[in-house]
Parts: sequence; C-alpha cells; structure tokens
Amino acid sequence: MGNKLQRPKGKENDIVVSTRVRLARNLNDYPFPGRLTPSNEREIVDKVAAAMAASPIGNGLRLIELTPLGEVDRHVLMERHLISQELADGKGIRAVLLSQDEGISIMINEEDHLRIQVIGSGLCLDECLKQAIEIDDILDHSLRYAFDDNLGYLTKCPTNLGTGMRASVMLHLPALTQSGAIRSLAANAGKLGFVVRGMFGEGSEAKGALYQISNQMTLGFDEDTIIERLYDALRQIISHERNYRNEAIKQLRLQVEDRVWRSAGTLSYARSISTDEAMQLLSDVRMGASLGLINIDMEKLNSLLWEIQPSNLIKASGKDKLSPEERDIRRAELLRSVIIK
Amino acid sequence: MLCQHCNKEPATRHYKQVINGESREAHLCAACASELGYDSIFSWGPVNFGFGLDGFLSNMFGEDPSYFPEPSTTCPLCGSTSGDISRTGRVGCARCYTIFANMLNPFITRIHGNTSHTGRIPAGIGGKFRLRRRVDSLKAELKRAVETQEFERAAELRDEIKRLEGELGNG
Repeated sequence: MGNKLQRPKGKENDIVVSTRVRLARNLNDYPFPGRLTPSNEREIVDKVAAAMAASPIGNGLRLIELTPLGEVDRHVLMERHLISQELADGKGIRAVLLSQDEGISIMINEEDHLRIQVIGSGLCLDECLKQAIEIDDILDHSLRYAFDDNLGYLTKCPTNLGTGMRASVMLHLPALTQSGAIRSLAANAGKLGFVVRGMFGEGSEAKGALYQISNQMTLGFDEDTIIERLYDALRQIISHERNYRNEAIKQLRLQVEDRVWRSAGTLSYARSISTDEAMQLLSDVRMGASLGLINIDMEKLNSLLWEIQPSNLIKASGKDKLSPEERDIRRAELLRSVIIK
Repeated sequence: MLCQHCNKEPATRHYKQVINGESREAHLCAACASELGYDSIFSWGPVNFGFGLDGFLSNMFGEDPSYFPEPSTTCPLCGSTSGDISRTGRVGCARCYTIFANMLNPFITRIHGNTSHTGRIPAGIGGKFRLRRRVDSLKAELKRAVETQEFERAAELRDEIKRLEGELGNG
C-alpha cells in the first residue's frame, strides 16, 4: 500500500500530523444503516462503487469489502485512519473505496450510507475540503441524497445534520500536555465550537500527546465558515504550543535535551516495548526533532504512529496472530531499525 | 438524574457552556467529572476526551416523558418508533425527521441552536430554494455595503434583490 503520511512535508508539520475532512451522506430511498436488509446493503455498495467508477477520480479507487476480511486486516485499515472503528467492527455488508495514495477513503454503510473522507499530511483543511466536494459532486450526480431545506443533509445521528461535515486535525501537543495547559484548552474548546479527542477519535485516550481537534457544529454554518473558524482555533493552539516549547527550551534546555535523548536511546536499544511506551517516547523524539535537537525524518515519525499499532505489526509479520509479548518484541525491532541511523 | 458519562452514579456536578448564544449542559458524577478533567486545570493524567454529544442526546430524550407526544407512532419507511430513537439517540431513516419532527426538532435546536442549513445543497434541489438562498446572501451583502457606506454597491444589490424576489413571487 502507498502511504499518504510519508508524502511531501505537510504545512506546520512540527505540530500538525494530519488533516481529515469527512462528509456524511445518505441515499434518500433507503433506511439508514442498521435498518437495511442485506440486499439493500449490497445495492448501496454497488451503486456507490458504480457511481465512482464512471468518474476520473474513481478510476484510481479500489473497492475493499469489509465483511469477508479478518479482524487483523480490518484493524490495519482502522489503525491507519483509513476507516473508522464503526466500519471496521460494524455489522452487515460494508465496504470502503480507497485511493492508491490512501488520501481518499469513501466508507459505505458506516453509521451513514456514505462517509466521504479525504486525508492529507500536515495542515491542509482547504485542500481536503476541495477534494471531498469533488467526490461529493460526482456521487450527487448519480445518487439521490437525503436532504431537507432546513436540516440540510440528513444523517443517522442528529449531531451531524446540516453540512454533515467533520473537519479534524491531528495535533502533537507535548508542551501544552506537559504544562497542563491542555486542560484549559479542552475545557474551553466547546465555547469556541470545537471538540478535543484522543488519537483514535471518540472515547480514545490522548496517547503520545496526540489530539484530534474537530468542529462541533454542522448546522447553521456553511462549510467554508466552519473551516475558517477551525483555522482560527488551530492558529491559537499552534502558537501556544510553540510558545510553550520555546519557553521550555529557554528555561530548561538541559532537562528537555536529556529527556529527548533518553527517549531516543530507549527507542534505539530496547528489546521489548509496549504501544503506550513507544507512543510516549516517539512523542519526546518528535518534539526534539521539531526543536532541532535531534535529526530524524518527521514524516517517518508520522508513519511509525500506525506502524507500531498491534494489527499493523501482525500484518507486517506475515503471521495470523502475535501474542502481546511477541508484538512488543517486534515493535522494538521496528523502532531500532528506524531510530538508529 | 444519572451521570451522562457512566450512566451509573447520580449526577452531582453540573456544567453549563454557552456556544454561539446557545447554552449546553453536562451532568456528571464526581468521579467522571474528575476523570474528564472538569475539576482542575492543573492536574494531569491520561484523559478520556470521548465525552461527546451521543450520551447527552439519548439521556435527554430519556429523562422527560413529555418528549414522546405520539408514543405509538411508527415510521412507515423504516419501522422506527419514538422509543427506538430516544433509546439510541439515532434516527432510522430520512422520513423519520418528518414523522417525528415534534419530538426531534427541540433536540436539534438544543444541539445546533435555532438555525437552519446554509451549506452546500444537492444538485437536484429545486431552483426556488437556490433563489431564496441567493436572496438571503445578497441581503447580508447589502447590510455590509450599507455599514461600510458603499452606497453605489448597495443600490445595485437592492435592485438585484427586488428582481429576484419578483421571480420568487411569480414562481
């Protein structure tokens, strides 16, 4: 598989890992997922795939049916943020249309019939929205969307009504985390109309100081306004994080350097390492790299975030399963091969 | 009222947020309030930021029986009942938004504020709706033009709005 997150450097990539825009859409003539018959589910997958196949963008998309896939294969996609947990572990006939560079993923029969998702490296909300809209136009051309003049695009969960758009940015905020300032950010997020979550979305912990910031409101504002407001919030967060980092390096240079190099040392020499520990150490190294203390490719660090996850390790090993202990050993091997240069 | 995070302990901590003029509430037990970081801006540990609107929604449906004006109503397209929607916080199909409008609309207002859709619209949606959209956006532009004293532009806009409103009236 290609790898979007290893592609050319993203904007603000000292802090912004990746950007994602997704549009929720439903077809007018079918009940929402969960109330579909198996033949309904099949029809929707086929209709969406046919609609995309007829377009130039669609040529580059590959249809992956989730139902016949084993858990490891489904979770490989989820850990790479190409599909949601709901699609990975859901019931019924579900599929994803995936572009070769993995920047586009159109989830079919997730919570809604369609989740059009575009992911990019670094901060690129406008670019992701533009591409999501192109895909939306193609599908709109041949499918009849469920829509209401006042409520906008109709979705299974009323929290997505209106634009059906969730714009989400994954941020690395070690200095705000360390200082505790992240708490006031999380507490104030709602006032500014955005939501703070952990790396794997709703219900997930913020491991390795990685957070997803996304818009809360979907109804009453148009797409561009939502994106502009999110940019405003992000600019503030990014500048705060940079200030805290600079302050830390000014006042505590030795401690910061010591921590970064100790973490790099552990990653370079450990023989067994858990996901949580690896995420924390990678977080330190990532911050060290962004401060110029340590020389390591930022894009490689980004792809390690999913390469060290359990299902991706199992997949890379070529085996059907690995015990947690075996995974910890393989994770350490992988990290040694990257960090030692 | 039970804590909307764990759904087990009584909610003893109540939080209110105002977003774009709309107020929003969170009702939590002491343990969840602490776990979710509502208590202090200084302490730090692994925090679960998953507290979203989902539980909030189904709980709000659940606590007040007056939100079920038509308990026996069933959606003819998908078979959902008001009970299904309140239990899951999810809607069965597009038609449910019409069938259960009385029940759903107050909640939609609570989540999103008293507002209506201004974003993209599907290609198949009628010309009249698009025209009304265009008039609304021109009116907003007119207001700005008057505020910034661009009177020539304002006059143009007023003519255009008049013309489009005429079209709407005849359609």
